[in-house]
Amino acid sequence: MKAPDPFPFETSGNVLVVTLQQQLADMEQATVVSESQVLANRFSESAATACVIDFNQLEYFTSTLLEALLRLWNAVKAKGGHLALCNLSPVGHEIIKVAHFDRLWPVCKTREQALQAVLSRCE
Amino acid sequence: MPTILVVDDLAADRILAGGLVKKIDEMTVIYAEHGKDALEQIELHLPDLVLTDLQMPEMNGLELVQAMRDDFPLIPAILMTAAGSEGIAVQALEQGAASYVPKKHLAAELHETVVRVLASSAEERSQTRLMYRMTETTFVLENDLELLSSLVSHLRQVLQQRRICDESDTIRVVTGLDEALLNAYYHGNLEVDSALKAENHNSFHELAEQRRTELPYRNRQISITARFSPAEAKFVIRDQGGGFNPDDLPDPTDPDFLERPSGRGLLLMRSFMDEVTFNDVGNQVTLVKRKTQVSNVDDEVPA
Repeated sequence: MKAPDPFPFETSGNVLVVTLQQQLADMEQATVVSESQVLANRFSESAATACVIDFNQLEYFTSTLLEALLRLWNAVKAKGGHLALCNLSPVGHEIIKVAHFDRLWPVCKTREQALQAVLSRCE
Repeated sequence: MPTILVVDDLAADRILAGGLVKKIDEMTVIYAEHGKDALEQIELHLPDLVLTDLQMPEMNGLELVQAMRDDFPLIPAILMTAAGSEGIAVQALEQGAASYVPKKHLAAELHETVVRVLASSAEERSQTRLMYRMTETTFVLENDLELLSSLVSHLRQVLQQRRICDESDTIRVVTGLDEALLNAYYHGNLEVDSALKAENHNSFHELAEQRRTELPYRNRQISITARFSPAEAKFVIRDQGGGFNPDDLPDPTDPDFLERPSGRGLLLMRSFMDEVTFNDVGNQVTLVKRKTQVSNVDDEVPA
């Protein structure tokens, strides 16, 4: 049985919205890595110019997910695009702050705010 | 003699439910008028079970169940449901309530439901009492990520049972442990260099997978010793690799390194644990988390 996709996504205009799955914490590290590369490739091949990562209140995550975010960011940067994070749990927010990733991307409470953040930067 | 807390804003309903509970062998009954009052009573008396109405002022039954799940996860809650509150009852069950009894069927069903819920929670309490008496435990694991993940879940449970810290801090500790174990696995036993990630992320994991089956890597193990005292939890994680010097790692928060693909594991460990120390070789790390104030409950060992 194929492992569930840790990074299912949808498009909202020219924004790719990725919703992280709760099962991420239990997934094989290698799967998270390879699937994040698949996601980055999909972004590159799509018409999207911005990306929103909805953390879906994921309780916590390891540095492997931080690396996955950077992989996606490289694909977004290559298009001159923008990325925003949203819907982080309290500890998840702390992880992003500890890693100083809040200096790279806006961290928003809601998906709507994150969409607004990337769209306003695209204008 | 079990203690049952009956929570209902209507005095007549409290008395009715309390009277039915008292008819069950050797039960002590205490009362509260709403959820907030109930939480105070729980802190004072640590009842064995909470029997609660759903619709109450100040804090309703659903909110009470949610609060109990966070602060008193081992105390089961039974809901008393009035007609029309079935939807909220389902929500409460999903949030962790043990069972429910419609108010119109209290006389017929309460006795059996209370006895059944107390019996199943007794086993869990017994396990907690046992865990509280564990001072040290050691695991020796082969290079298996699934085992490491299971270990982290187990240690999380022990931390919750020992009430070393609150739920948020427990999650932080779990994050730190996860990172330490991943370091021991990838960089310790399998000696896969983070520099590979900068070239090709897949190469890093492909090499790790390859080395899992090759000598000398495949026979290496990771040992984890967890020591618990009233004041702290200490975890000693040792791999069988050649070690490293943690001072050689660049600061991942330095703007020049911010977008590097690796190097944040140690940062997260240090941020979320009170102490992180390596041995001279660099193949053993000790992580310490000191006890924080969990609640106003007496910190005595459960009898």
